Amino acid sequence: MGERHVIDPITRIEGHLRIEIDVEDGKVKDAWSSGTLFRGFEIFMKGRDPRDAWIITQRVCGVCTTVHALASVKCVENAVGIQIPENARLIRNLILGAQYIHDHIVHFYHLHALDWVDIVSALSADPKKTSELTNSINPNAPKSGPGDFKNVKDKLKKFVDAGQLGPFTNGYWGHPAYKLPPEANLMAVSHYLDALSLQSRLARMHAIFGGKNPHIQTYTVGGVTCVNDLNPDRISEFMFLLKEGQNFIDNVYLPDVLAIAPFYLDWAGIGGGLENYLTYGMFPGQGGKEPESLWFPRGIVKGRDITKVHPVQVEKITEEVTHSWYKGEKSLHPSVGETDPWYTGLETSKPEGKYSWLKTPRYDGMACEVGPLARMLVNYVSGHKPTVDNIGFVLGKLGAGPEVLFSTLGRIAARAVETKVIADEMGGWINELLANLKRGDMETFTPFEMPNSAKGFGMTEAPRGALGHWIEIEKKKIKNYQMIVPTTWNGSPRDAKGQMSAFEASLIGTPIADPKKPLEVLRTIHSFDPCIACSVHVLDSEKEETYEVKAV
Amino acid sequence: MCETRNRFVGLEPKKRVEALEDIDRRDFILFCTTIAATLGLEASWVPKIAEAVERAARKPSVIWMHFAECTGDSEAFIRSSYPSTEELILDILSIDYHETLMAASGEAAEEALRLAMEENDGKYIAVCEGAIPMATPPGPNGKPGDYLRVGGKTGIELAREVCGRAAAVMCVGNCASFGGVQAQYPNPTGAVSISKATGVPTLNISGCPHNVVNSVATIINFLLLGSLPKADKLGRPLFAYGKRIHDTCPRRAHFDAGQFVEEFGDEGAKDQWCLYKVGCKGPQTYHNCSSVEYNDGTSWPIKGGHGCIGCSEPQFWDNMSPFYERLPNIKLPGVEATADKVGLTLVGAAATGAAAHATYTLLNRKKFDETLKDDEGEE
Amino acid sequence: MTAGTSALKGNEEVYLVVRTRSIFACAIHWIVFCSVIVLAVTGLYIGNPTFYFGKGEPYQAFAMADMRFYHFTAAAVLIASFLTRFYLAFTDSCNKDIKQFLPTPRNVINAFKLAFNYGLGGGKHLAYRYVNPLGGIGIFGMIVFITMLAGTGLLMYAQGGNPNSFWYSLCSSLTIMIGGIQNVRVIHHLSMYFLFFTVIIHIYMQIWKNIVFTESDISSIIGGYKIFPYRDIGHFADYYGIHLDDAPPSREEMDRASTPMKDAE
Repeated sequence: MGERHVIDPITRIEGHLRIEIDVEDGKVKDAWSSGTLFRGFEIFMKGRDPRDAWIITQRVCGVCTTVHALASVKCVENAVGIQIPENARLIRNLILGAQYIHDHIVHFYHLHALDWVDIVSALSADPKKTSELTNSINPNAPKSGPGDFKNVKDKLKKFVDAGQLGPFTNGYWGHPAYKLPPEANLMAVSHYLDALSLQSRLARMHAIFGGKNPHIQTYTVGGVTCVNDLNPDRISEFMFLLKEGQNFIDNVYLPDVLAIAPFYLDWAGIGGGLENYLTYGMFPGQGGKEPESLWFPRGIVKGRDITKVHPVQVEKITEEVTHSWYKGEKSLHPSVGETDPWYTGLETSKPEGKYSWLKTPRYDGMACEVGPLARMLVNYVSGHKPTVDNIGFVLGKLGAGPEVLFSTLGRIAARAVETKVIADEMGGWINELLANLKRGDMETFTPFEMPNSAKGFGMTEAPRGALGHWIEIEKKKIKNYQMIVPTTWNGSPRDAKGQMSAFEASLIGTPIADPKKPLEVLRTIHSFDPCIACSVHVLDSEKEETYEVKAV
Repeated sequence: MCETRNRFVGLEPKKRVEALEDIDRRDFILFCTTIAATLGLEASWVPKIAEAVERAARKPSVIWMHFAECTGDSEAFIRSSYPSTEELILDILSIDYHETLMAASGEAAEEALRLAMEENDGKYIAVCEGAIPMATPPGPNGKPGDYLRVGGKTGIELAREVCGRAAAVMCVGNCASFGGVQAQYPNPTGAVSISKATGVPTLNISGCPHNVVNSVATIINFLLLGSLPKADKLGRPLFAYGKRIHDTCPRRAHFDAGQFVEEFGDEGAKDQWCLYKVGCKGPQTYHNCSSVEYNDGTSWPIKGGHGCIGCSEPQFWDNMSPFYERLPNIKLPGVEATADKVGLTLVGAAATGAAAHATYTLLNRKKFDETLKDDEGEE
Repeated sequence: MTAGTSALKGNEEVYLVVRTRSIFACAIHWIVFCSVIVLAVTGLYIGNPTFYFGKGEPYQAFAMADMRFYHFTAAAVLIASFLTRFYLAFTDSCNKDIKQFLPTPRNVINAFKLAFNYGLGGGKHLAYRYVNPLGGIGIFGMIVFITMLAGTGLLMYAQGGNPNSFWYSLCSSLTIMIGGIQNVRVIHHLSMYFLFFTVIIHIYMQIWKNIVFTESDISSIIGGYKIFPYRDIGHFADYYGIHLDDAPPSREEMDRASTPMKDAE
């Protein structure tokens, strides 16, 4: 056993995460990931009006806002048995798409970039060379003149000279794992700042139809409420914001990934972890039938075999609590529960003890990774054209085969590709929406009667991965509500068989230059875009019966 | 002395700071004395003024704490437009600890927190996001507050430590202000607001999530005037929470006219009629959404056709829900019903009782007549 | 005042006409009655606006605004008359005995007895000069519910006020104590239904008593006089403190009883 190191809190993520690693010979030998906050969503969901579920569950997470809302309205609609109007489907797709554009950009620049970019080193960059570097990757790069970079450098210098480093205090600046030349660092810092103001504008895409961001307020069981925003003025506002986002993705985000990646090609072999990739699919097409009409297909890639996508059978999903702070040992379907909080402390002996508030989901007993990489792989393998083209383009630029995708760097690339694929498609949905409006179709809501008792489930994808909600209605009230969220898949503790989940597995073998400054651990953990608040939840404590899943 | 003063007065605040750098210490004290004299203050004020002016040259230190939350308020905060997020982070504030934005992690992050608190002891602004779980989880090692641990410390310990030494504590979002989503019935983790957990009075920028316009306005108020804005009984600044949404709602005319959306997507909804009957809580919610709107004035929920859910009010998850009904249900042991249902049952019972009694009287008229006779008999 | 009909037939009709209320008190009863009706109708509309006058531009009728105007006006009238009545309860020329409305143990026991008598018939008929214990408790309930309605109504009304005023801060403190404005609203609605509950029973009992026992409470609330047939005088006197010992009251006693103004001191 090597030397034990604790990283708590892990910053630049959503929620409270603690990682413990054993380091031996400069490499991670063993790792444990603990979610350290428990809020008890499923407990207080009980007895509520099912129509309110989406408003409450949206507050599971403020970073991947809207996705829980979407999964929740979908699961209630599935239970009630209604089909939402086409306009509502399109608006939901647009809002979800906007979420991806916004969230992935924020993740790359503000939550992840500082693991790769040394801000202090940017101070010694030459603005002229930076300009040349930027234009060599992409001649269309905006704000890429030497003067632009000089301004950024001056601003940064003034900031550092003032002696108050604010959020950059105590970063691992000068760490040997930072490999970018000063010019690339300056370019990245400049784009960090650009993205900071851009994301605030991109969030307006949500606000146009959603009322506000974070936590949109336009969904309702049966459709959407923003019927007044279905006018050319609002739609064009959305279109131009989208265009701004697309410009940034094409001319800044993707080129930045391609510019930075060559310096870190070793990371294409680090942080692979699990070998199974699961996605529920998203963006329902005309008619809204799932999974048939989904634009991003539902499926599993098993054992890194990129020749075949296996279909997802929802009933094969189980959750267990062997190493989670809950009572119970058995492996159960999401809706069967016997879970009570049972806290054993942070200092539990590992690996045998309980050490996280996250539960451990498994598909058919297999540990799966979820997230952009899983989606891109499933898309790629099932021949989703835009994905195949874009992955081909990126791999071509890097001069590598698809096997490099199974890595920390692969996750970053997949996220960038996904952002572009979605942004490019959104124009089509806007056109569909406009065509409907031209026809005079303004329908946005399907009236319904809440059934006395019903069961349903809703599945979608969050930027971080596969998200499922399950509901049981009794006496027009919520009797049982369950969520299995992306970071539960990725960040959960080991299962009873000792199989690691994605975070832990991907850390094994990661080189650590200085265990006191575990920058390398952050790189891999951040590449998953963890969202801990989402993942900590508890199952029903009284219910014993098995949950039946209706086929859609 | 006079020269120093003239050099200073009339400059913009930023320039003043620069000008200050030129003034040597002797001049500077002289300058502070002048200010004290101008304001009619005693000599003992001179060091205080010196301190205040010197402090203005530094960006105020902000320590942003995350407790039981969803990070929605951090996200909301970086949606600022004027001033831009970049200016807020780089020029206006020195955000020394913010788990979502900061570069450092683990021990380095804890060190950053310790440093920020020591360097700015009693001077930093603590911004709190998220509620504090106070309950003890069941289990062999459960201690109060164990539902949340950051860097090994419980939320309660951290909050007391950070808020206790702050110049001001600003809560962003409903969770920090009033307990928020996790504090709703039955509140499994015993979540409470920052002020309840720490005993430190807080300024509450409520909302779910809060509107960045309001948190920034509060900070600017603090920076320019040196004090927190006037607050209501719940600690919410009056400039933002002094009026109900209903009072400034663009759909108010339809409310007064009695024109209501009966169902989403109906003709009334298309005409932007009032959302009162589909559960809008604007009439009981203090917030300035309708005037400032969200995301740089793009929209707000009622503009998006959805009723207000009352997210700036304490315990709104319990009080304002069901969100598509006007009133919360009455929870009696074993029964949950609307006030109307309870009331109509009562009224019905009274009417039925009266009718039954009238019938009874008719059928037993003799008995009552005898009452009178008996009466007479006695006499 | 015409004499009421007595259930006694063939006997000599002896009536006692007693002043039970000042004309003020009577007027206030009906003002309260009318304002409660207006408040209930407009209140029900405000709570659940189910109809709307006209279409399109609402220039002809601001239905909700009008309803709220009537609601607030009636509320002001109700509160003013309520306060006046409260003042009269201590200073009115007759019927100053506030105790008859309070749920004292004696009143409660008597009310139960009376409820039993009234409910099933049998026993002894008891007539009271002003308010019988059962009615007293009912009226006490109405006073409580109207006070709660007025109080919660004022708390809600204060919401639109100037946030810097003392009145506003007082009301918001109270609202917070009650647990938020939604609780205030629920209490307002429930109190209304409880008031209705008591009002229905009150009205029914008055009509019923008038028919079955030929008591003249209805005329007493209109004109201020109550007419007692001979047979009831005993109980009335009992309540009023004249001890009869099974004998009919003497003429002097009856006179004394019928002139409470002198007697009151």
